[in-house]
Amino acid sequence: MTNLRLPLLGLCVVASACATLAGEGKGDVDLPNALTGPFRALKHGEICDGDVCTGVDELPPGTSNGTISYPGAPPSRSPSVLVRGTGRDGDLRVVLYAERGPDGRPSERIVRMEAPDARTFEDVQDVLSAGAPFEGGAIGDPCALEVGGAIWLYYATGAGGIARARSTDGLQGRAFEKDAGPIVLGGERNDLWETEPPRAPAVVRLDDGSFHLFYASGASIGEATSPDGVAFTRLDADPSTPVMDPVIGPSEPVDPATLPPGVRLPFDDRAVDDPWVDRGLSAAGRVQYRLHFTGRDRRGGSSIGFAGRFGDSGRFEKRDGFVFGGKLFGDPDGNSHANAPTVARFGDFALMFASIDYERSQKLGIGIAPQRRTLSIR
Amino acid sequence: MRAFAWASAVVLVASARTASAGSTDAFGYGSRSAALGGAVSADSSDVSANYYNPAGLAAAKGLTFEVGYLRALYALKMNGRDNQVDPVRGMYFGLVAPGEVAGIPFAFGVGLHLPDDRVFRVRSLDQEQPRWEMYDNRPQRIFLATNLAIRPLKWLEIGGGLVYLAATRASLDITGRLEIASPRESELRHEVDADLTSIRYPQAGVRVHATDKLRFAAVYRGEFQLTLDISARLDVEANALGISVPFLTYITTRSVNAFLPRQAVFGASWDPHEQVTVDLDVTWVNWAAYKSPVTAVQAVTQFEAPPGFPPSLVPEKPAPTVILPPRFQDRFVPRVGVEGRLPLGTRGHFLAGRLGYFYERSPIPEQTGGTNFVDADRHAVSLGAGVSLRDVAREIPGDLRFDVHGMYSILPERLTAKGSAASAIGDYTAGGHIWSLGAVMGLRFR
Repeated sequence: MTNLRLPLLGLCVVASACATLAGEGKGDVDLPNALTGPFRALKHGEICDGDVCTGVDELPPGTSNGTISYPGAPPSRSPSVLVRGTGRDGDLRVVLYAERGPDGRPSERIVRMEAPDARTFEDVQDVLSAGAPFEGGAIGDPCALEVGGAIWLYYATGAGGIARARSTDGLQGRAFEKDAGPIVLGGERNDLWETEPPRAPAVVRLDDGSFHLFYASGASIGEATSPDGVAFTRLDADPSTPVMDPVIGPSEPVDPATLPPGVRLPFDDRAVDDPWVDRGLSAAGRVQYRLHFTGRDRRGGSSIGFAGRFGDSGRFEKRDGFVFGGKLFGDPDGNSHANAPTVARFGDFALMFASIDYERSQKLGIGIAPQRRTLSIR
Repeated sequence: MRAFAWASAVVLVASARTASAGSTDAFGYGSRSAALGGAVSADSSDVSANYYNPAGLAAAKGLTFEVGYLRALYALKMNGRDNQVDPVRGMYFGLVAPGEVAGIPFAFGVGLHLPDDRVFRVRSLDQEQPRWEMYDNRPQRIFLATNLAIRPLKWLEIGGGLVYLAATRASLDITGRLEIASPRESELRHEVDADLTSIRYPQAGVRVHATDKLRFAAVYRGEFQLTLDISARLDVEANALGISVPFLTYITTRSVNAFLPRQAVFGASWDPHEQVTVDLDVTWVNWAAYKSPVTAVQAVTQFEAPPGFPPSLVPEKPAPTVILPPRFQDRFVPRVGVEGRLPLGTRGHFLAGRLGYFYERSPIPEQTGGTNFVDADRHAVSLGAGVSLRDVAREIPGDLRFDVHGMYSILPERLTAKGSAASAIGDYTAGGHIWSLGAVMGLRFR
């Protein structure tokens, strides 16, 4: 009996010593994410290969505001992205339409550019120039949409209003033909918030072939519908009130003295602007609209916010705080200047392209969500 | 023998440092008991009684050692994608040392599940991050139980024990020079001071032999929570663009991990035939007392930016954490097990076949808000076999046992529909299945 006890106890001791240093552990792979942010700005190793940088960097040497221009992407503003890649095996092909023009002045061209990796933009080409009588010498804020076998390009005009051009080379989208006039935006108008002609169009197409237009006016964002993509009728986001309501408006101003420590002032207490919208089905099968927008604050800054909606009509619900921006994209006074977002979704992650313009400079920034996801340069 | 049992008891109780029951709650303790669906509060007198009902130890017929291994593999998915939850695997040890004091039979028992990858894992996650709350961290821990049991009457066994755990308090001090633009040129000194504080919680059980063929049991397991307090002080001279600024920040975090709810078990065991035993347990689990594992952070910062210091480099104060209540719900877990024994020859050998089932309704409510504690109901079916050989060698005067089991759990897909369309996570589905396998070798001396 004694002969057995010691070996058995020895076995217990030896086995106890088998515990090893643990790995980091998993359990958090492929988690659900709405891919609506918050977005993290791509970092140096994700956008630069040696000395060649293809996007914005995080506090690069020699800059105080965290932005640099793209050597591989010409100066541009207000992008609109079309996804061409699958997101697998580094296939991140995108086509980007953006406005271009002299620094500090309204843009007069819309360019098309491509990137095989969503960062190295090549094949830059003007596809639209201001020239039609109804354009007032300026065009911008493009919104690209695939409709059938063509690309439809909605854009804002310098004369006030929204116009459309359709590609004549199918989904290549390099050659466009403009409509004879701007789109029609009919229906009751609420002058309390719709104080300016519509601008910054974002259009989605429903399964039944109809279109929903989101546009900025004054300090709010409104919605309209159309059966053909040309003649739109305004939608009331809240039929329970006697007037036409926008889908979102600016946040109420907050007295800084009333805020708890660490809580930021609203990033959109002056205006909401530049909508970018997509429509899809949630995992529960619900129709969901995802709206990214520019939030402008009363301190002169701007950041990107997010709002969502279930169903094809009604108000959007905002998420607290911005999802892209902050000091990284700030001016020397520390005010963020991220605006005019567009989002490319690649399976389990999304890239946001946004203007990072300070005093109407022409820079684009790229962010990624989920924030833990990283990209590598090919 | 009695001296050896007492010596073992003193040494092992005194050295017990850390214990918890996450893996045993989920996958059982010991192959025989796991094969019976864990419905053994009234039918365990082996090492597994250290978890299921310490009173059962008093029925041990001789000094018993057991050693085994358990492995559980997850295939848990959200939105159809495998989240690669870490498997649970570890050694199983235990002993039961019976004796007698003043004519009253008693027994000491110790049980251990020792993970072979990590002894304990704590992860602090964002409140909004989805996580398999029941299976991610909770089973990744050591289990160590020590118990004493007595049999004051022939029909009554009483047992109980204390479980020891360690709470953690730690502080981190960082002082020196911080180069904001060139972090690699910073010169910082670190000082870490950690303290482990003992926590105890009780478990107790009773078993009544109503007749020769019918037994009843009641077991209580206390609540446990591991608090993790960490404070950090950063007192540095921050340099940026040639400007030097004193910077002081003090951060404290507090989180609750490894929460184990109170449990009360009521069980019965019936022998309808000499070779057949039917077990039934119902466990009340007090999940309503669940504490959120989200870390509460408080920060105080002193930073006076001098003229010319870039505003974009001025650190922002983190917002205080607002921890949402988890609002878990109590649940009852029914368990059933059946064992059939087939004698092999006339020397006392036998072969056993076992079947078990239990159902765990998820205690986690619909995650429509800002938290994402992911879980689903669980149906678990287990199957096992064992062989017991008596006096197989002169050096082993007793019974040599081999038990194996397999358990298959299915978690039917559960849909989470968010109340807000602005959710960063959105709607999702969650479900999957779990396999666990185990084997135990035991030796009971007479």
